Amino acid sequence: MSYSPDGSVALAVVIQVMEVMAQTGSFTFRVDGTLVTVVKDGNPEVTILMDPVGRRMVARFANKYCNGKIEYFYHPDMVVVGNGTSH
Amino acid sequence: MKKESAGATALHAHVGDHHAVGVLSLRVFLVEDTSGWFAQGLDIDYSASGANVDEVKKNFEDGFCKTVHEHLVMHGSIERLLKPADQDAWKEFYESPKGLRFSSIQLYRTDDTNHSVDTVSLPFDSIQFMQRLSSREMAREAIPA
Repeated sequence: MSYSPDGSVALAVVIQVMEVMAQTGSFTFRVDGTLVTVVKDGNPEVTILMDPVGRRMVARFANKYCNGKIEYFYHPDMVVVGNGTSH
Repeated sequence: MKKESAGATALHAHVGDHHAVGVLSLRVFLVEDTSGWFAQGLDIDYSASGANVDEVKKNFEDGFCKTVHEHLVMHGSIERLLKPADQDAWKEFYESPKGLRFSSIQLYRTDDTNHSVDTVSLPFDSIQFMQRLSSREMAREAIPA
């Protein structure tokens, strides 16, 4: 299981989902350790993440960058880009 | 205890590639979250998390400064950063328990000739960190002196 019952998600999974979602071209995603930089619509945002990533931050990422689909972070196998999947 | 209603002020001045940015009285809502704490900027939609209150404050400050840096590098201004949090965050803020704590910070940044930004001042005196009281603290607040 990639997430805890309290809703937090392993940092590696969050990065994985964001990297796959970035392939849609709707935003760019850069990682430097726990420092992630997302640029969407020309607006950069730099966030220092914990490991695991708490439920609220997961929800924020889902709302801002994943069309509100928080389930992607809890079930990363669901993330689909084009005709492929994250795996 | 009343809620602070005054909004934030953002200042940006530059001479060529040298920038100075100040953010004054930015309201930041702190709330306990899974795995630690979560901070949500209200006047400016920026968030951070941390294992404890000190860490979430530090992560907010550091991440916010780096975000300002990125805006200055990409756009030469912070105008696009000046967007408030969404309605849900404000709703939660206004419906939260009465008790709040405050601390603050000012940010000043300048750009050098290599387009990087250095923080020249980071005192804790203008961003207001507002934190929900624990149930024990709320009970104590409810008891008249």
